[in-house]
Order: sequence, then C-alpha cells, then structure tokens
Amino acid sequence: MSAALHSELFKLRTTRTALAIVLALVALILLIVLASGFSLSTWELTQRKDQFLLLANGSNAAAFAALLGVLAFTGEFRHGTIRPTLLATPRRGRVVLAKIVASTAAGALLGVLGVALSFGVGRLVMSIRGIPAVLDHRDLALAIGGSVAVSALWGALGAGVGAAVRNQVAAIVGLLVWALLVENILFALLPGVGRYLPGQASNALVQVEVPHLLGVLPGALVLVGYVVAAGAIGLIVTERRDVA
Amino acid sequence: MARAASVVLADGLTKRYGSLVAVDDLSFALAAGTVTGFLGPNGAGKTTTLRLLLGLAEPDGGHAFVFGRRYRDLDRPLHRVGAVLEASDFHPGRRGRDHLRSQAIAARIPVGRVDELLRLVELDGAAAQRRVKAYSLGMRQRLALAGALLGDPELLVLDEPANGLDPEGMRWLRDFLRSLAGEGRTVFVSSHVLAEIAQTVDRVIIINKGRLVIESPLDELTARVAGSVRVRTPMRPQLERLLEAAGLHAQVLDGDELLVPGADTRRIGEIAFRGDILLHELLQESGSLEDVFLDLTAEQR
Repeated sequence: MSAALHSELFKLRTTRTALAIVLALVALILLIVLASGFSLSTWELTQRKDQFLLLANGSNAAAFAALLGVLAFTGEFRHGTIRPTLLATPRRGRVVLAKIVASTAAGALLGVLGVALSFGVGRLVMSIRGIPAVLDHRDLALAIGGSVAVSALWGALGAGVGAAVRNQVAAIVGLLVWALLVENILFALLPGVGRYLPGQASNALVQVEVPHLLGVLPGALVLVGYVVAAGAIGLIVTERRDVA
Repeated sequence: MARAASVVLADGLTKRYGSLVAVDDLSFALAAGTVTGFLGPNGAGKTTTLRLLLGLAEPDGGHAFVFGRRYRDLDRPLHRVGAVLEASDFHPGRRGRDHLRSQAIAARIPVGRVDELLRLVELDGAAAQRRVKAYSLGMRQRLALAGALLGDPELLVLDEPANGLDPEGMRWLRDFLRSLAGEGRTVFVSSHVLAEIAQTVDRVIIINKGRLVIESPLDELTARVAGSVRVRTPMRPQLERLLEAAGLHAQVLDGDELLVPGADTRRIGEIAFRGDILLHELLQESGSLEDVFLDLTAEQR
C-alpha cells in the first residue's frame, strides 16, 4: 500500500498537470478576492458574513482539488498508463486507496495554498481600505480549517468519481454540471433536501449566517459520507470492470 | 501440462464481449525458457488472451495462470512477469525516466535499476530527461521494454512489439529479444505477421477467432513449407490426370503451371517421364512460413 501511495504521489509531481492547476487556482483566488474585496461597500465588509466570505475564498481550492482527484484516475485511462499501473500493483483496491489518499493530500495542500492567498490578499485589501477585522477566533478557525478540509475531501471525492466513471470528459463535465447547475437548482427548490447534497454540505463548512445550510459538524459528516460512498463505488467498479 | 510446471497456462480460457466470443475455450501452456510466438490475424483474440493472463480482464470461463497462480495473486508481480501491452501507455507530459521511476516505486525497485535499464535500451542521457511526447515510436517501444524489465522478470509478455517499427528498430528488437531469451527467460510474443518473429521464436501458438489453430515447434511448421513442387508443362491437363492418379492434388497456378503440395521434384519427374509428359520447368518450392500461416488461419475464416 505504501509503495502504491508513494508511486501516486510521485506521479502527481512529475507531470505539469498539478502545476497548471496550482496556477489556475492562484489566478482565480486573486481575481475573486481582489474583485470582491474592492467592490463590496465598506459597510458590507465590516459585516461578519461578508468578511468571512472574503477570507474563506480559499475554499475555492475544492473545485481544483476535485479536478486533480478526477484526473488521478481518468488520466490513467486516457493515456493507457492504467495498464502499467495495474501490472505493478495488480491488487486494484490498493491502487484505488492510494489514489484517494494521494488526492486527499493534494487537495489539502491546495486548500492551504488557497487559504494563505485569500487571507494574505484579503487582509491586505482590508488594511488598504482601513476596514477593521470583525471575525472572532472561531470564525477564523472555520475559514481556515473549513477551506482545507473541504479541499481535501473534494480531492478524495474526485478520485472516487474518477474511479467510478473512468472517462475523463464525462467525469469532469458531470461534476461541473452537478456543482454549477443541478445542486443549485435543487437547493433553491427544495432547500430541506438540497442542503444534504455534497456542494451544500461543503458550504456548511465555509459559511456563516446562511439559512437552510447544515451545521458545521453535520455538514462535515455528510461530506465524508459522500467521500466514502464515491470511494466505495470507485473501488467496486475498479475491482469488477476489465481494463481494455 | 501441470499447473505448477508451466510458466503460463491457459485452461479453457473464454472471454465474451456481448455476442462476440473473443477467446473461445483456449488452452495452451508455456514451459520455462521457451520463446513462443503467439500468432493470429488481427482480431483473433491475442490481445484479449494476454489481458486475461495479466489480470487486466476477467475470463468468462476457464483459467489463466502465470507461475501457477492468477496474476493478481502474485507477490511482487514485476519481479516475475514483465509485460508490454501497448507501446503508447505513457503520460505524454512525463519524462521517460520519471515514467520508469513511478513504476519502480510501486514495485519497490531501487532507482539505480531505472538508470541501468535506460542505458540498456539506449535511452540514457538527454533522452531520459525528455518528456515522452517528444519520443519517436521506436523510443516509446524501448521505454516500454525497459519498464517490463524493471523487476528482472523470468517471463516476458509482449503484444505486437514490432508494430510500426522501422527496419532498424525491428533488427534492434530482434537482437534484444534474442539476448533476453539467451538469458533463459521465457518469452511470449504476439504478432499478426509471422515473419516478424520467425527468427526469434522456437515455438508458435496460432489462434484464429479466439480458438487454437495449432501449437507447434517452429521447425515442424517449417517442415510443412517444404514439399511443394512447381511444374511448368505444355501438357498440363495430362499431367494433372497422372498426378491425380498418383494421389497428388495439384493446384493450377497459371495456364501451364501447376503447384503440387506434398511432393518432391524426383517423384514428379518420374511421373512425368513415365507418362511421356514434356516438362519446361520443375522446381522445388521453398515457399514461406507466411503462406503456411495464412493457410492455417484462412481455413477457419
């Protein structure tokens, strides 16, 4: 297992995919934090909710973590490297677990990067505009810990989905359509049900004062549940389906 | 052959894809140290058979064993079996050396072995540091071979390794496979062109439509080639009748030309002489293995 994990971490480091994802993440967070930091009114930015949202932008790393997780599997099927991978580690469960763990770690790292950027730039914008910090320690811990946790869990979720779907385009398009469209519609129409969906459960970890969302702990548990479910499906599919 | 004694054992192996039976009750065994060609036209089921042997696909019937076990149950599989299924199984953006390292790490093989193999397949130095997308097909083939040899395996399984190689690459591959066989390894190499591997293998397994056509030492197959005689005569119909009477079935090649399988020039010459047949040409046909291969695989088509 540890050999398979080391191999997965090595694979992550030896293409330019991870670098491209890091650069895209940096660009996006800079854009969002600068845009919202300078466009929100002084009154808004001194409100707990908006200030929290500004500093919790590190949670955007979750989308990139999910992408990296999806690519961990679908990339291997796309390029055929799944064959040498399974020849070296024919016990497929180990490969699935290794990829999920590696994607979780990569997701956590992206989360840390996102948090550092959004805090660094967000605080800078606030000090330039002379806006006082209103968040308490609990809020700050949530903005930091929530962002990192959500990114790590979405990395794992992406790996599970990638293992279950295999087709790169289908997995990425599916995740995008789900996250940007399906969830938002469901949550708007049926918030009582929608709040249990993975995206809204994630939001529960990185938002304050939002109606209908779950609490932090229930949200985290629900999200972990999705990770376990996706991982289990990915494991079963990988064990059972032939590799072309 | 007993399961334990065979390096590779296919036992009633069957694989279906919908209504298509890709591998149909296929049984064969490879003994240690043999170099076996796995032949058949495209679509015969060779690649599917190799996938079943290597645990990438599960059979619908029968068993596939390497060293007496399912591939998935092997401990340290890369140390027992080295395989190249596709010469394109690389991430294009990863450096050649890093590709080997990722495999070596998974199999707990020291990085020194990676560099050793890069030298062996002549991809050391700058080539090792280049990303695979900049590799030629020949370089990819060699990188894949290096990957198969990482664990110094006793068994090598290669699927169509000669595909797309230029003559120089083919010769390199032939010499390389010979040297591997010379080290006592068991080699199982597939091809749809017998000539590509005829100089390398000492046994052949020919399949078609997923079924075994023949499993035979190469020299027995070669023996089938001998014994065709080409005759040119202005009295073709008369000679045909005489041959028929002697139990020989001649094929008409041209207006005055016949091909007589299962005969030699002496016998044909005698028959012609006794029947007062004028011969313009009498030639022992050397033929080619390829003809035999095509005949064998055509029978079932």
